[in-house]
Amino acid sequence: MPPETPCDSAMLEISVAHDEAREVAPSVLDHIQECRECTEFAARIDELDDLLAKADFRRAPDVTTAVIEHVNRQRPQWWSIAAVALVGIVVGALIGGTRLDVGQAQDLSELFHTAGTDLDGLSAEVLVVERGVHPAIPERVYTGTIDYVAPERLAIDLLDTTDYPHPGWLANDVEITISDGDVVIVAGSPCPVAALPECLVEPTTRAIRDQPPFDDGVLLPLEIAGPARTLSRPGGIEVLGTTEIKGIPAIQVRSTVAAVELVGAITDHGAWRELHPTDEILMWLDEQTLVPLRLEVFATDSPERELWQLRHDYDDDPAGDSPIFIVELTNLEAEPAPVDIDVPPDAPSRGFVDVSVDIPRPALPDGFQPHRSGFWLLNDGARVELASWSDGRSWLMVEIVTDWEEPRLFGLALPFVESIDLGGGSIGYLSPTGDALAIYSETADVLVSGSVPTESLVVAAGTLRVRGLRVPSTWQEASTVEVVDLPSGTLVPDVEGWSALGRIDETGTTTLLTGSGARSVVISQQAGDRLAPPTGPDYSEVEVRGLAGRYNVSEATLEWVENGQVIRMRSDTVSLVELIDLASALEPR
Amino acid sequence: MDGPDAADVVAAASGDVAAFERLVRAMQGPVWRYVVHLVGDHSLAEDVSQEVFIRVHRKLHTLRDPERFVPWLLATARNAAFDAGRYRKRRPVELVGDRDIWSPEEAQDPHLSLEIWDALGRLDAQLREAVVLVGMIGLTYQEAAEAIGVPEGTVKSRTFRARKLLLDMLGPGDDDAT
Repeated sequence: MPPETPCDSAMLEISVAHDEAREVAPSVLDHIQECRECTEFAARIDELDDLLAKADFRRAPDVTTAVIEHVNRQRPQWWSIAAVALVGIVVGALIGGTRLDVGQAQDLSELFHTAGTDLDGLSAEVLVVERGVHPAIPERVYTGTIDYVAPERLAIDLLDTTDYPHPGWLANDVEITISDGDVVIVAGSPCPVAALPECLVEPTTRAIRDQPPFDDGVLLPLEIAGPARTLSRPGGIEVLGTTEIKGIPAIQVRSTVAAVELVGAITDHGAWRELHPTDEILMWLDEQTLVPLRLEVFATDSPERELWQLRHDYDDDPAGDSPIFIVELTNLEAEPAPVDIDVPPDAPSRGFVDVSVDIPRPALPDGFQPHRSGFWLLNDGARVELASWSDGRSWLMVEIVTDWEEPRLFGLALPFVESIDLGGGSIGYLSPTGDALAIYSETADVLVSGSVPTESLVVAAGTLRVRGLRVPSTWQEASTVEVVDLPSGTLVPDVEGWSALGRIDETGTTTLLTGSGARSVVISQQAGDRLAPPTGPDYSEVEVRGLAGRYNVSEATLEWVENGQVIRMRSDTVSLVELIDLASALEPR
Repeated sequence: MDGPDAADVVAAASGDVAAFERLVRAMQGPVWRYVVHLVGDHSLAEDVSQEVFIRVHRKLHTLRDPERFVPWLLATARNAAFDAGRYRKRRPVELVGDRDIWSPEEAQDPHLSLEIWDALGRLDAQLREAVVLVGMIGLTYQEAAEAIGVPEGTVKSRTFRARKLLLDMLGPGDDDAT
């Protein structure tokens, strides 16, 4: 409502000038000087601010603990990757095909995309061993079955066979059923060690329906039938050599829980124990398909892991050679049982509607066939149309929205993007993980995503007949640069297996390193000649790049000062040892 | 207001739980103040505040610009508050303007704040929302506009009108009173 009188206009200007910490516009000064009401308003606005500041309510309740406990229970998505690490383990022995050249084993990404092939389905029995859950429960053993029908149907039934000392301990049975966008999970919830077993609850049913195909927050069955996320960006995965496991030719690799995110997710639903992101994983990948046949997780020996272990009341032995978590398959069969799902009627809907949509077929890798298509609505009502294709193991999806009005790229999570030439003067923007490409154009905003190699995404995007434009200079994405374009003197990484993108703002630079799985490191660099005073007891002195630095174990942050720059590297998915190694690989631009 | 460290927002969006915890600690006060004004019930406001951060954790990867975290967070808080209101629609609770939050014993200084409590409680909900965001929490007009989903000019106008009404309700200032 516009002001109705000169007084209102003048007082509005006083109010705005007050909030914007500037002088009142000269055009209203004359009126104010002659207007007692305006003068009084100007005089009392500070008094009113004081009153508002003191009119605070009772102290805000601290919700941090409750929120973080919830987050830790849910992380990363309870229904997403968890179950299906198991599927990936099974598939390897089922798929035929040409033997890979193991001499190429160092290039897992290339091997993965050239390996294996159509996957119609499988069934198998699974064995899981979990150690160190509680002093009274040194080991839990699970048996179960898996049925997987490509590309988006899966049923897992895990039975906890542990012989518990008394009835207060509840079996950690888990049932997961997924069928074309609907998910039903029956499982318990995790408990702190100190609260076991009293806090255990009977398994409850959680369900969601009507999800888009290959939804990142739900389940990517094709991903888990082959660990594309892990292997497509193999930074942090060390190839140890070739071997056999139960007679099956295999490539043995070493990695971490954070890099092999499917494994970490197993412990995030049901009443599993937790694994630390830096815990070491030994994994045997089927030589033909690169699907993991067996996984073993070991506690690592590091200060941050030791602190984490103390806080979680675990008694793991980092020096021991006994795995704390094992997953293995048995009794493979090529024919899965049908996957039937019974979604509760009150299950929340994600709102995806499966219908035919008018999205042209882009150039796709060989063997790709149409999968699900349809539309969903954004919060503001904008309609997103979607079409997807799959060859049974890999998938590619195109999403188009014509009335996207946000000042940012549609579909990409962060402003860290790499500008890509799509040919013919068209431009696209690639996510740091290389699995999504956004196009901004005059007519529509497009997202092309998938588990295929980045090159295939770029080819598909270039054939959509949408001419991509550069984003407006005011968008955050416009301030993202390749590390070679960061200001001179900025320390930039050059590490194999990690992608790096930078941003420049008025305070300095921020560089995002993205590795395999959930591994990431944020490097911020600001002008300064000293570190801020410590804010707690969790600091330790470390040497970094030959200089004195410090590490805050509770914040997983490495800090030091170099050439007039305060440099901070933060990551809770990379150990201090690896952080220091990454820091050593930084070079001034 | 001084928002949280953008690096924390980026790290939290990348799955860094420690960074997310810092965001919660930094922002739970402003979220609580905003939500309690919207839902008018202390107990519900605590539940909604928790729900806000759980939603934020789930959706943080969709935030394109870390610098816009604060208005995005408060917009999420607004949605959660209204969802809570809809959820409770069968109960005789007024979504906005419930007077139970205005009881003087809640004030840090009852003697000083009684009048401003009462005045805030009598404001139109839209005006109160604007003055809470700008005058109490310290958002810029742009941030408040993004949080509420209205043009900046509307926030300016509402904030001004709220102030004018508050001063009218509070009566003459100290100079006049003496």
